[in-house]
Amino acid sequence: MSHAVIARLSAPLVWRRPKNMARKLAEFGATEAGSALDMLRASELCPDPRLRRIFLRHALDEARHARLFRHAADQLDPRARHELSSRAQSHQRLRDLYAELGAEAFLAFVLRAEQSGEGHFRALVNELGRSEPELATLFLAVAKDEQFHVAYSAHWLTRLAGPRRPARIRAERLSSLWLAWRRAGRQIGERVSWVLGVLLYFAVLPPFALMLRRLESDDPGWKPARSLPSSIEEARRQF
Amino acid sequence: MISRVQTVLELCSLLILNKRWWLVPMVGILALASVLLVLLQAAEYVAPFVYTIF
Amino acid sequence: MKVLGVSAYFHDAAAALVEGSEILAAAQEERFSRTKHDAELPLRSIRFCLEQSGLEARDLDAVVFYEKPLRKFERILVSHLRGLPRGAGQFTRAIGTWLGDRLWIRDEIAKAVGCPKDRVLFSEHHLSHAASAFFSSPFDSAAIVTVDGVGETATTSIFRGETNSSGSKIELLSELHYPHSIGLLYSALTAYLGFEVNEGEYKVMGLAAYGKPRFLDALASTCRVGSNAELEVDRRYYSWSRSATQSFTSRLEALLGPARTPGTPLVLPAAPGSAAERYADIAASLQAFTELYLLSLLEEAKCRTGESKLALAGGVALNAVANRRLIEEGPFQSLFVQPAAGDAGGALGAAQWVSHVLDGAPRAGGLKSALLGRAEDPAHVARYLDDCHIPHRRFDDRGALFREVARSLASGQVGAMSRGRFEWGPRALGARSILADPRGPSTRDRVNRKIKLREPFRPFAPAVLAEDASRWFEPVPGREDLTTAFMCSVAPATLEAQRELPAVVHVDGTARLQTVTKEGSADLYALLEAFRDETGIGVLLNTSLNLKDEPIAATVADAYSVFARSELDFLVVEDALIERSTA
Repeated sequence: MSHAVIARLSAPLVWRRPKNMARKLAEFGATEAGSALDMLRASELCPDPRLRRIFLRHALDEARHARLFRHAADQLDPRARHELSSRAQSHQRLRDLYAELGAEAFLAFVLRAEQSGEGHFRALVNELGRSEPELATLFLAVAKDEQFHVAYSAHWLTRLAGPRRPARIRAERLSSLWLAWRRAGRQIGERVSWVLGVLLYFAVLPPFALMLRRLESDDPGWKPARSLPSSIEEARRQF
Repeated sequence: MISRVQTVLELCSLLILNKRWWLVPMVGILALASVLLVLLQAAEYVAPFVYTIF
Repeated sequence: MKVLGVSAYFHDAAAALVEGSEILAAAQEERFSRTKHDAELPLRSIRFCLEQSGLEARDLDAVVFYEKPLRKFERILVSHLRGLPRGAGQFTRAIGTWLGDRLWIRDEIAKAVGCPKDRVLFSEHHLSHAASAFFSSPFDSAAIVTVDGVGETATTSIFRGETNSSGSKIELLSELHYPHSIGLLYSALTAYLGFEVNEGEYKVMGLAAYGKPRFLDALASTCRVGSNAELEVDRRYYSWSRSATQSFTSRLEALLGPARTPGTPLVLPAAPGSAAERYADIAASLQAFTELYLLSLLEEAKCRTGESKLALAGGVALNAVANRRLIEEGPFQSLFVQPAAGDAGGALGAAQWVSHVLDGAPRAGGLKSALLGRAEDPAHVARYLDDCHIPHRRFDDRGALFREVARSLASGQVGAMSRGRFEWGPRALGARSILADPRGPSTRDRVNRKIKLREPFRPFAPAVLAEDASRWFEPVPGREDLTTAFMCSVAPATLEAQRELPAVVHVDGTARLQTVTKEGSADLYALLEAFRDETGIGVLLNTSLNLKDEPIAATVADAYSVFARSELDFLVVEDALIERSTA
């Protein structure tokens, strides 16, 4: 439900201008590329042969989605992918989730993430069906894959966790809320440290800058030979 | 914490060695700022409400 | 003494473990983290180095970071003070990361490795580069030149290295300081040409072959070169000292024309008068300018050191085209380039410096093989392929496997090979490589478009049996070229090669060859022999096993993922052969 609301609200902002659309698609591409890495890693680490196989298939699905999204982004605006913010790029990092969480919690994570992804893409299909038929087709294809991912992760979570399943799902929900909380905290932290930086730059640096200009020249050219650290003791120094 | 203080002291001795002793006060201010930043990093856990401090 | 070297926080984080003169393990973090040019503290590489050598953190005698963090911080502060009031954006960004974690690197490393803080040592950036080049070379005494973007303050340094009965030493003779940097100049123009900095420099090199250096004088007017190779960058044209995102100014665009928008198509060979022609000409001019500068730098190094041999490192040393010219026209008799000449190599150099210079470990003839990374356990590979229902054939006999692969390649198939420990440095040297027959005129386009999805103007490199190299590629008469084992220079193709091996000869008639010896890579050597038995030609097209914008594969899953997403005809992983027709 909430996905439909978000899709409705964001449509005029994101899905009307090619530049914004390209950026959004590039972000989707980065996210899918990141999950592809996590799934591939899970397929290597997981001891169960059947799960390994499914994880590998899932990884290849995600990698294909990443390519489709990136291609769609490039079609709209070739600069979009180059201009992705560092935060969006961090989505394509391997996070080693399987190693961190273990099979059950990992499956609970996959289940929640894929449910959310499927809901998101289906809402976008409804919203964009008429205005952007090609993108809607792409989102529908992705949503169908996500549907499979939801089904297998739900099935395997029940199978592995048995009676612990509800607890796993609760824990996963909590940890995703906690992560969102921390993300918000970090973003605010970044803003504040930016303000701090600007303050330092304009309030603290100028007198020192004047001193520097009076005391030192800035000549190009070869600097004279100097001795290098020659003992463990000197190497311990950080300068 | 002790190790960080050591690092700041090392930085000051580097500046003095390079005849930039007059930059030491600036490093002092930066060190204070870094204490603030450490608090901010901790704030990642306690809250998005940390901004109310400022 | 067991020493772990670490580089991080700029680009290409890496770890390397050295005991005495032996390099036990070395790997770049991106191979494990799957994030290209990963610069984070290389936790995974550190873990790998320890596992590979069967050591625990407490067994390490020293952990050495590849640069002096406080000197770097001082340079950043001073350069911002000088640039004030322009540079607020860059300052706020830098101060956040420095006060956040970089300044406390000693604590971070001790925590990451799990060792006491007093075991953490610090080398210097260019010293690490210099040590990696000198101690990996076979030279007993040599001039060492390091050229990169910037280290702590130095951008270009001249050292002298010597090993004698009393031990090894490296002396710093002179250095140029930030912001005067040929490396940053190359990167600024890489950005101007619409490529990603620290990634697109290879593309600029490939593009240069299509152009004429008609902007050489214009470029020279933005960067003065003194008679003794002093370099002075004109800050009216370049802004890397005051902006983190924009390295050139509108004045440079007024001089050279508008910069290329990243991602826009670049059709080559370019139509006369087109923008693409201008970009190719600018790339050619930049390449020529860099080569001329490096030649004058080598003259200066020769004059200051009096040595006849040269070891070269730093990011700029990865410029294979320039390296050839340095061997041909430079004042030194022998040239060696360390395969991970970029910042990753600093991890190795820092460890080698501690081992040889501070601890006095004797040397053992230099780096023979770049295969220092992680190997996959063949049993794990077999289980993975079985578990994932990937159809494959297993070969107990390596000879039979390579004969089969050679036959497939000779019939025009394009395949990949992932065997043994992966490579140290940015190049695939046969352990994680895509391979093809270099003869077919259509091979190149096929590999380019269908498999690598990369810019079609970039050349492919040949791997050649060392003893056959002079049949296909021109050696430099009277000079000792120690760069080709690790693919660090180009060579003109002979007439026979131009006729027979079109897929690996670039538009300017050269190739970035890798000469393969049994010692350097036993597997690739054996495969080349099998291919020669099949075709009479001991050369293969060799390119890295990855798709566009991804790091080179490390594990069986990485390799299979490339295979599954591309149109490769086959994939060899350890002793298993996976074929497209059955997979």
